[in-house]
Amino acid sequence: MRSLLLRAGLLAAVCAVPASPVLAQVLSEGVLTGEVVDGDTGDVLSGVVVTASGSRGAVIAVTDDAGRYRLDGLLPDTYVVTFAKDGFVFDTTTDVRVRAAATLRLDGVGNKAAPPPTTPSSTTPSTTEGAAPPPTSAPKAPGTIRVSAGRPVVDVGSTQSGGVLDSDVLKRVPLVAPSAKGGAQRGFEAAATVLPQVKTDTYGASINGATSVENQYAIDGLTVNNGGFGSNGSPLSIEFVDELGVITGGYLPEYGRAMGGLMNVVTKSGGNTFSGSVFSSWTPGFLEGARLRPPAEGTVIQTTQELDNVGDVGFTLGGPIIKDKLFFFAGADVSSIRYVLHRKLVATDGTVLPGGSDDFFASQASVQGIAKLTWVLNEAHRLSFTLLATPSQGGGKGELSIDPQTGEPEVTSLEGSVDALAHVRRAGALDGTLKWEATLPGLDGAARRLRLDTSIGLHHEIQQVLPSDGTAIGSGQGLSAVPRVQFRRSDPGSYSIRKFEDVGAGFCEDGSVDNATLCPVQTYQFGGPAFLRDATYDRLQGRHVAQYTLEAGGLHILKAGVDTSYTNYHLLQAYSGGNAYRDTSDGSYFFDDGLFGSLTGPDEANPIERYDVNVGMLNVGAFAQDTWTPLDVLTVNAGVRWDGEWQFSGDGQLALAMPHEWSPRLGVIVDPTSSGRMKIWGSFARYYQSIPLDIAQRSGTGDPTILSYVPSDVCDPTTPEGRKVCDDDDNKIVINGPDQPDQKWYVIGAGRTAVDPNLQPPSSDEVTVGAEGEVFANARVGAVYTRRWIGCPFAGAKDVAGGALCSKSIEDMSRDEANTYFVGNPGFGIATDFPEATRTYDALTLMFSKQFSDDWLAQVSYTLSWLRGNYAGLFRPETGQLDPFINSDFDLRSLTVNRDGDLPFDSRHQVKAFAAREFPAAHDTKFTLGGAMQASEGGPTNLLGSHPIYGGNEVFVLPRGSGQRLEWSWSADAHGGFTFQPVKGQEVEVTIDVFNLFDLHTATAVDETYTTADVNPLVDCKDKKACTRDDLGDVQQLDGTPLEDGQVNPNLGNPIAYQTPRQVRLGLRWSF
Amino acid sequence: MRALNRFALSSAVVFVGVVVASTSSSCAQRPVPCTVGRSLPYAAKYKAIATEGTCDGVPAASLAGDQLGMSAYNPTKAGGLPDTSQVDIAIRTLFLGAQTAAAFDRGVVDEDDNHAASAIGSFTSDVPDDAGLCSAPTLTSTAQVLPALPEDTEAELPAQDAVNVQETWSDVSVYVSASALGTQMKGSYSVTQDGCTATYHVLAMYPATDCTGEDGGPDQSICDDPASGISPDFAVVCDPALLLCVLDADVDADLPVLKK
Repeated sequence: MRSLLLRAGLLAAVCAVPASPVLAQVLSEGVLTGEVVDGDTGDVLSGVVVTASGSRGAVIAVTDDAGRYRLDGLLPDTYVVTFAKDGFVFDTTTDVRVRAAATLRLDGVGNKAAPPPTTPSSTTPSTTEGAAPPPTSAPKAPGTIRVSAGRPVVDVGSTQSGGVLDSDVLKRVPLVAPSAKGGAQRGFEAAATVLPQVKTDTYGASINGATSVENQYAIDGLTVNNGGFGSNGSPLSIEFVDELGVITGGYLPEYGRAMGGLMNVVTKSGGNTFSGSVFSSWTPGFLEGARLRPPAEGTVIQTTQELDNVGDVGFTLGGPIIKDKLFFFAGADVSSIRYVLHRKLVATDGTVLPGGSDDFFASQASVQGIAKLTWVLNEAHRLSFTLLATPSQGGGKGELSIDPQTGEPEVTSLEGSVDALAHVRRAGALDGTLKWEATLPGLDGAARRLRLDTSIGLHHEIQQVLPSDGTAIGSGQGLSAVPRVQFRRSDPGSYSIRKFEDVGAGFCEDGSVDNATLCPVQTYQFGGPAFLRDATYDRLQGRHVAQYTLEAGGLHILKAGVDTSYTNYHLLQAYSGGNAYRDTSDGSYFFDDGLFGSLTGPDEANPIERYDVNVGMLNVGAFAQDTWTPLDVLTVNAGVRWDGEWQFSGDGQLALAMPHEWSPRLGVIVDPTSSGRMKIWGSFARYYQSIPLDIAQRSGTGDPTILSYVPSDVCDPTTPEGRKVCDDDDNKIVINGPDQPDQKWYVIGAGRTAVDPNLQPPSSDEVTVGAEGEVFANARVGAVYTRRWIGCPFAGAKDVAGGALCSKSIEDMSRDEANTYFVGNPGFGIATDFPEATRTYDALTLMFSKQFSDDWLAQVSYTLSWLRGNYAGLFRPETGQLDPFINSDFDLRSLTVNRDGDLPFDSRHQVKAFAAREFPAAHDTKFTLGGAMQASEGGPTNLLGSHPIYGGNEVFVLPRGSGQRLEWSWSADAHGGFTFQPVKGQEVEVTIDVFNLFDLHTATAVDETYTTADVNPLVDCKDKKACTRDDLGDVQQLDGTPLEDGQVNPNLGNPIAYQTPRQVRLGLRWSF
Repeated sequence: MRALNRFALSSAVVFVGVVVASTSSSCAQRPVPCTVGRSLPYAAKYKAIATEGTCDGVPAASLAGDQLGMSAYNPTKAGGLPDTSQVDIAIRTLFLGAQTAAAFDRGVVDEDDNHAASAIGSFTSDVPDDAGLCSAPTLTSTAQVLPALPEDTEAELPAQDAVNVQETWSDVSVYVSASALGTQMKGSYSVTQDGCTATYHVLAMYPATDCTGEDGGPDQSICDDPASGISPDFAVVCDPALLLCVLDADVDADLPVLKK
């Protein structure tokens, strides 16, 4: 024992010393706490045995001298909670739904059991609607069980905001539309968008105005973010999810760090009874509503897309291996999604050409598997091991693929040959987590004082983009050996489709194939699949958390922990055939559009056929926090995290060092009821962001690329013989000035980018205030205001403490208009002449939520929000560029003009609701009806022009958000189910989910290109604070001349994308 | 049970150990790599040091400045990837480069394999010294010998005298920091033309920007324009003789030349 104390002391001492969100198993468990009193005297009762019995056995605590108890580490489950003490009688509370990462308070009241008569006992408060009425019958003997319906629903232990989708919701509400990202396997991320503060963006679910790649994704505590780009790396099916928790803000240091939110999955576990299911779903394409797509302008190639079908089949099985000791859970799911793309050639005179029209398919097949063991060694020690795999493959055998990052077919317009457009895309993760929880006596010998959680885990993920014939990158075989040639000539006219395809005799013969009017093609991809990549991400992570419960001026829950991870990102990239060729806009030359390489001396080219790079990242973190409850009505949360992050370049040397990430978190909670039925809270926090490794690969190592030009009259890259001519140095033209050592070659992206020596880590700050209370049994209402911002909190803060009060972002920038670049903090350090990166999110959310009970559940929320600034986050919504912290936002000072305004995901009003009800019927059957609806104001749009260096849509002609807002979008989804019992103990359920029930087609994006000409942004409009659309007549080209009439895009503001049409998913499930 | 408890506590010590070991990693960013500004020329002003030989009327003897092109290179290592531990540089003057390019345009090149239009050397280190300087003490000499070219009226190319020029660069250094990536340079330049050798000290900055005003004279506002591509930290002035934005300092000034 002495040895144990010494070790505990050492632990406490070391943990008190200041040390990323790596493993967060705290996310996967909940807490039940409360106070037990004598109902007759009001005195606290010590020594009461509190037992929470779930599907995996019971957890026991004993009230202390203050009458308090605390049950930590409860797996999300529905528990029966009993209190027991000799001489007293208590109510038993059933159906206590413990959620992950939440602290619920359930008080107990004991009544003396001296018969007869006696005062009724109850679980407080028992006056809420639905609570069991006081007994009117004869008093009971000790040990008699009565059931209280007063179950806790308010998380009184924390200031965190967000929401939970538990299995009650997941199986009754229409979630994850078939064509959403991860829709085929019903991935958890898309389900979260029914919660307030969560919106769909290009790469996932945006939380609190941040981009989705700023979220932290965790499955059973294992961080599963993609190591290179930050997106969710394990799109686990909700079939295997017991509970999906989304924490949008106000969380303590133990949960880690993220500029977005936390998305936390708790997988299903086996219990003491065998249970399982076999399920299948099918979304047939013929039930899909009509898809709208505006016709492609300026090209003969028209492509329309329809759903072919989506379906899956799978099973789950769980149960005991040793009763009360060892449990297992296993499951698998096989899914597929397939779109059909109709390609039709339509001449500008409306003639449909007989050749070149065909149907093509874009497909993806996924397999998911999960295996989980939970071993309760004894009342103090519990071990669990989770293994899950989520591989998928799309494309191949003449089919296009579906991009796993977006969930969309890899191309939407079939402008080229299938060999050039199609790829095989493989993605998926293999995750393993071993977790050990120990609950030990305290220094005073009291039980359950010290709790130690230790986890280790591995997230292994791949992302491959391969030729559609499956040949290996750089193998020199098949399509991997064929370069792509891209034709984009537009001056003096476009090429005719006849140059590339046989469209039938007598068609499109309007003259030369080089200047088509009847059958032009804007762009045409010929040859091989071009850019290929094989990326592997491995993250080994470990975490240790110690929790100690202490009585000192109230109850303290002290926690300290350390976590560490090492992430490796291996990237093999190449262009098929070692190069890609592209013609100039006038068709006079071909240039290298994808040639990895470097120069070893003047005009001495060193092409690199396979660019192989390995970068890494070490994350180390530590935290200390205290949840102090000095009074029944008051809880104070205070803590601090320290994180350090070191990224390493391809040469193994340091790329970035972020050693000083100190993030304070503070929160105050007042429970006016003193019984866990209500809370009023406020919080402040700074959240740092783990930086995905893309920056270490691209900026820290470099993507060395070289290019040269060859006249198109001597070089024909479409044939092997022609390419030999193209690649001959003697045929290349001089492209640089007479004073340049390199006359024929140009270098891009060579070497690593310089880093500001005083670089500060990226972060955002947040304050929340809110109130939440139980309104009737199992139901609560709440309101929360959130302000989360990147930037300075007030004018002048930049000059205080070296700008420490300001949260910052990181970007690559050029102070000399694209001549040289460095990585720094916009507005700070060596980039003070750049504007600060700013993003401010203000949101007020009102919510009503009722857990499933009495055969129904519901949640309704309304969010009023503003999202403003000059920085959307880790990807650029305007272009889809996903290069976290090295996007083009701040590349040049000339690009930063007019960038302040309403950001793309600013939707002022948003209403979300879902509900479900079961209708028991005769003969053990039941009907289920569920529904979900969303209504949101449309987002802002912009008016964009071309930049002389960065090209199209990079100049904000008017301040951000000056375009017309998109229309309100509405959607309603419905769920229906019929369940019957073929055999007692078994159920068969037939379901139907209808998404976009009313088949609405609101535009979700419009053409924002004001002009394709290089223009100056409009600034300094007379007598105005900011220029408006009334000033567009003053837009000038770079030489100061006004735009000509024909230079304004006639399609400006017209829709380019619409809501997904109605889709119908049919389901069948057998469960036992 | 007790063994399990001990093991649980031991695991904490292991984790703390990992954290402590990890925090011994560097807190400073990696030094900026030695590099130069490329693809665009430097604007160089010259200070004549000495002449040797018969220099009357020889253009090379009366250079006030020039535009210089520089490039940085890495040799390759196993696998064909660049070996960034060694940085080579090349310098090409507009003075010689223009004559060489004019000949090239007519298909005329110096066929001597020992002759090159660019001087090549190596930085002594892949990262700057404490003063932020990357130095290349010696570089190979350039040489171009080209015949006289008559005027080509069809191609609108002027006549050009025969070329016989050799150049030598030495003591080249560039200033490298995160905000000035090799964009200031100085060195010694010796050029021999037709038997005359002139030696200059050189101070240059990147990129060369023409500051000819609308009246044909120098226009300082062009050098001060943030869109010029010149680092806003640099002290620059429009040189009335060169009509280029150059560093506002004596040629022999130490690097870097920054605004006060």
